[in-house]
Amino acid sequence: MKKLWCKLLIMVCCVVGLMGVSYVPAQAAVVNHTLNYFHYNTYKDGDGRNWVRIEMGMNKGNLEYEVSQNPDKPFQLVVKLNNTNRGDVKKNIGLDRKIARYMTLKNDHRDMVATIAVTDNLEDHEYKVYTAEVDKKNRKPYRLVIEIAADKGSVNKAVGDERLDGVEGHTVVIDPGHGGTDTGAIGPSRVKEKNITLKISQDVARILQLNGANVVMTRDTDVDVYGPNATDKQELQARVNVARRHPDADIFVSIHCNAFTKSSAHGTSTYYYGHSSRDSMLSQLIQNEMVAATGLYDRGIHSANFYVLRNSWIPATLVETAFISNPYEENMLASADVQHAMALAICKGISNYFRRVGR
Amino acid sequence: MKIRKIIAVIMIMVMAFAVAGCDQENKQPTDNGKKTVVENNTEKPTEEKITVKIYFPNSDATKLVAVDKTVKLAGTTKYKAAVDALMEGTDDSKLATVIPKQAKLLGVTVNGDTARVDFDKGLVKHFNGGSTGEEFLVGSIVNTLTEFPEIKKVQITIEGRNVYTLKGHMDISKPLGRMTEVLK
Ligand SMILES: [Zn+2]
Repeated sequence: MKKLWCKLLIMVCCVVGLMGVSYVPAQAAVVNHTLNYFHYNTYKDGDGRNWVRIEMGMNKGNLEYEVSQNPDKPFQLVVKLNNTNRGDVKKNIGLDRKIARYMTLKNDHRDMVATIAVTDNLEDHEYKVYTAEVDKKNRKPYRLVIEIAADKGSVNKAVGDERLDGVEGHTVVIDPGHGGTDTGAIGPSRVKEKNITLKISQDVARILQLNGANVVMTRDTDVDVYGPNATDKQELQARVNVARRHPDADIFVSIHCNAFTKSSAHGTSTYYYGHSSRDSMLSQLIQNEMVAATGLYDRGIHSANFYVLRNSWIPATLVETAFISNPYEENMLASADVQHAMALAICKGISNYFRRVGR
Repeated sequence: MKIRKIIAVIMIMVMAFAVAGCDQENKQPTDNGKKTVVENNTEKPTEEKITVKIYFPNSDATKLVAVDKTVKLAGTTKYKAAVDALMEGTDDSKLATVIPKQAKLLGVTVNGDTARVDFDKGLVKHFNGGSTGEEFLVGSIVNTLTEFPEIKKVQITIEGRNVYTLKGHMDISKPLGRMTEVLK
């Protein structure tokens, strides 16, 4: 019996609630709002991005408003406040000049139109418009708030576990192993190394770019870097040369899948040549993250006389993600989830490296 | 035409080495005292048997394991006999055969302290690659040959030519010394 009462009570509440939501704005439409407060300031958010915040206060709540952009005037953000009068607030108001230049307020019949001139195309800015209730503590009335960021923000911003410190401003060369006429190793179920290395590399590039790094790919499609039918020297040197053409490149990361004649060989390993201690440091930091992310057997880091590593002028590493010749690991490598986990692990290793060596 | 000529010259050279491999080696001027031992071995009749130490990776490819094998010299050098034994592979389930069965050994020549091991293209074509695969294929050949004290370096060639890598990882363009890192 108690339960039934509860359900009934909830239903009644819902109905009343719904009526309230639809009812209040209908009445608000006939309420005349008059501006009585204006304030603007700039601030930095948690990600260090600059914003300008514009607050227009008024005598009553429940404002209806419309946000629009004029395609012919891409430098303007237009907000129409329904049933609103400008009151004592000035017609033209200068703003911070870095994000927004000025705002004009114009009465248009029963409504008021606020036009904000931004410093460049509105497409390049993230913005939000919302109402705020009376703030007694700060002596602020009910307000319409417009916030405009200095950049586009969240669309090209790493979120969650993809947010990494230390990579911003660094240039990373990513070398997806093999490609084009060179398939690399082939697994027992015919999974090709060149396809897996490209997928992981593209994800590594995406994550690094979201975090503000510059990424240079030796290849971004299924191609030979030098060209088809090149000698192995031409092909490998072409990959090394991609890094040499970018004098600001900080590190070179080659991504591969391992293979052995016996399918029993398994695990993850990372190789370096050892021009300096940074090669082994970068390798070890990536290896640590790879093992933690995949749970694969830790084969450790190894110094090896590999062409792309020996001929690199910058700290270089070659990640042997897993054994494509081992059926279990071939399956893993073919999985999009595992590819992403590996890409993220490589990025975390890179992030840890830059945090350690600094600028 | 030029290519044909080069191939012809290489073929003749290879044949010369193959036919008179041991003579070639003995003619090399050397002050290595052990050379005489080699001479004695190679001049003996074909039924001569020697024991060589050859290297196979363990089945998880974490290290090379030395295996003693008795081989017939059968008119060839102990160097070629050792590589032949390596190419025969192993039946031991704890070990792995790394050189593809389809690969052909074209010859082993020794010049000073460096052995040149020449394979046909089958070595590259039928080898699946991988950093570990390459390290252990190259390591098994290099370490088997450097087991002979007079051999310090090994150059792997394909049809008479130096190559940079087998499958895009390890640089084998220059003679390689004993690979202790895969012995553990
Ligand atoms: Zn590879």
